[in-house]
Amino acid sequence: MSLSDIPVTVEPLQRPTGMAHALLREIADHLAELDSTGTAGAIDLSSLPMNSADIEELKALLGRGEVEVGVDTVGRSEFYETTYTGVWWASHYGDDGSKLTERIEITAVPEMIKSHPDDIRNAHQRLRDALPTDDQETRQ
Amino acid sequence: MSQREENLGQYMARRGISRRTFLKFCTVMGSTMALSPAQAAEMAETMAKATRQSVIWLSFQECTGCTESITRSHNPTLESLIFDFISLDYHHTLQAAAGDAAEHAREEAMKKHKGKYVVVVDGSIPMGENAHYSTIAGITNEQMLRDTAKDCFAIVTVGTCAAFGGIPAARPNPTGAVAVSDIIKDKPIINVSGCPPMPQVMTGTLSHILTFGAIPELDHLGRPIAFFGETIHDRCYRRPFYEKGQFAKSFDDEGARKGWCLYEVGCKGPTTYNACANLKWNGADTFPVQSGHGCLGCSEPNFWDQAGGFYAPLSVGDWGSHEVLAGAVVAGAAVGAAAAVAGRSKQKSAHEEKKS
Amino acid sequence: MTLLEFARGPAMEWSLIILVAGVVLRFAGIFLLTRHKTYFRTKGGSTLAAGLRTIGTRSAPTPDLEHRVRFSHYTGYLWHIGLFITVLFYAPHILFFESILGFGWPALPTSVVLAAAAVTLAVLIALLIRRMVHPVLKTISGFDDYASWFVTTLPLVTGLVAFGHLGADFGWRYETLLAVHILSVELLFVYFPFGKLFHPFSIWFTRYMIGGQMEQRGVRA
Repeated sequence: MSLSDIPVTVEPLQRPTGMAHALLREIADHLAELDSTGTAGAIDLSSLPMNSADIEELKALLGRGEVEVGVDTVGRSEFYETTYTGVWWASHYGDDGSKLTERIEITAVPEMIKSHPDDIRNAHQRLRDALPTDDQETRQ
Repeated sequence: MSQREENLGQYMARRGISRRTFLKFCTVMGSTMALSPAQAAEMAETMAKATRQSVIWLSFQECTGCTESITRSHNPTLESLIFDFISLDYHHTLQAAAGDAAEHAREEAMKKHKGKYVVVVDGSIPMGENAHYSTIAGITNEQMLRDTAKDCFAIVTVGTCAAFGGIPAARPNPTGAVAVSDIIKDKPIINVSGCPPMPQVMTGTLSHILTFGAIPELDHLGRPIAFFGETIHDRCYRRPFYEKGQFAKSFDDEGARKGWCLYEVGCKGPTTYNACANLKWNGADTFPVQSGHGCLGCSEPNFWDQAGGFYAPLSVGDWGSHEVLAGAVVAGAAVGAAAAVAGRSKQKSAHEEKKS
Repeated sequence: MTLLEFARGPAMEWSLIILVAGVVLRFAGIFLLTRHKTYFRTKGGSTLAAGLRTIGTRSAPTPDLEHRVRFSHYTGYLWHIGLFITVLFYAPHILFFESILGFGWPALPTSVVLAAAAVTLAVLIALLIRRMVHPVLKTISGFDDYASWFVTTLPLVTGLVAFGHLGADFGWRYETLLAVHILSVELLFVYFPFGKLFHPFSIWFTRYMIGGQMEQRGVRA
């Protein structure tokens, strides 16, 4: 039995509320700041009173650009750049596929895509450890 | 370098937890805590540089449902990562050590992190019969709480039992159960109520302390406003039906099938402050109202003993019984009749006086 | 015990006890003290018919006086009907009555009830102002008149505030607003039997009795 077998229906109340257009102004302000000072900004969509129609409207308004990145860590995180360069759409999912949070990030590259210096140092160490030692080389 | 002195970043490197995973955790927690969205990366950097927060978890008169909620909601949840980001020095359900070794671990953590460790309490504290209803290693819950709380930084109560007494304190409260705040008066107490509390709320509250080293903003019952600032009713997707006056009258009628408001079948959403309606349970899938049952009000004090019970609508009170009202009728009639008889005799004597 | 627990528990129980006992007490007093002996020669004729007729005639203004009492008469009707709708046809209120009486009835849409409550409140306020400035009304008004107005209006105000979740700006939470609303109704219950507010219970039979007695005296009533 799945959820859809339970005969509960809810009247849809999903009409765009105009929130998407209001958000475009805020995104523009963040983009201006990124351009002039290099300061990154973000908007947490899941904390805003947006219905699914609003989200779809905002997606349509921003469009889809050239870059798409997926990150697999305790569930998937998906990023894509919109047609407005520097404006990224970020969706984070749990390991069961449930949506945890959705954000607009106004930045050159979202922080989560970049490799963290500590991880780089750690990777370097791991790679060094994986290399055959001089001792092993001479024996071969 | 001993394990205790390494910072969280080093710990994660050792455990193979990538900084991306950590950043994701901070992003999602920041979102549930209603932090400024740009703060997530900053929060991750701050936490990574700090040593892992020492946490002593005390389980008293409880059902382990709260621990279940945070560890087993589904596996491995983002929320359960909190157990990697704190140093859980004592938790007698989760730790491997038992008996003297376990108690020793608690005492050692208390000594080492004096003034800095956080105490998490789930379960109420029985005070009846000299507090002997519940003991751990021969120490009463009350004594263990007092001893452990003495040098802590703050206390986080997890679950309605620790926060407000909960089910053990429900009438007739055979063990004399009380809340943590009834015993500890000189330490900050953060109440994360709920039966059980939402895993995101437990994790979010601990994350707040980890990130800012401070107590989050609390409501008048000591609950973090970020999670307990609004009622279930405020954020309920069935709210429009309430406004329109469309109510389910029973759990299997037409209204229930259409997903109408559950006010009439006893939903306590309007007076219950919690984040269920927006964060949702079981992997953000649903919450009680969405599953067709009214809110029980489990994050509120005395939810078990509320007037009329779980299925009495909020507008209906505990008005007594028909017998009591029948008694009022008899009493009213008796007083009325007595007054009338007195009035009559007065009338009569006045009349006779006039005549004579 | 929180304020809401107090309002829904002991306060509810005791206010209902006082209401029921008070109403019965008043009735017992009225019936047992009614004079049955007449000290004059009666006209004869049907007391029953005259009594019933008076119940009807008193429901409309006396034609001779209509132009003078029109305002108070019809505004009176307006807010009584509004109050009737608000008290008896709002879904949560019906649940309250159902819990005591054992049966309920269909509710009106919330928007209709809301409009009725708003009109009722507006008329009540207008009538209070009139009572305070009208020279004749001012003279004949006593404590009971103002107290009756107050305990009737208070539940309307607190109910509207609770419904609208107003007061959040002042830090008032819904459970407090609901508790205050319930307590204000309980105040009404307690005051109800002991003043002019008793009239819903007494109006029909007092009209009937006055009609009958006046008929016996040969007076048109």
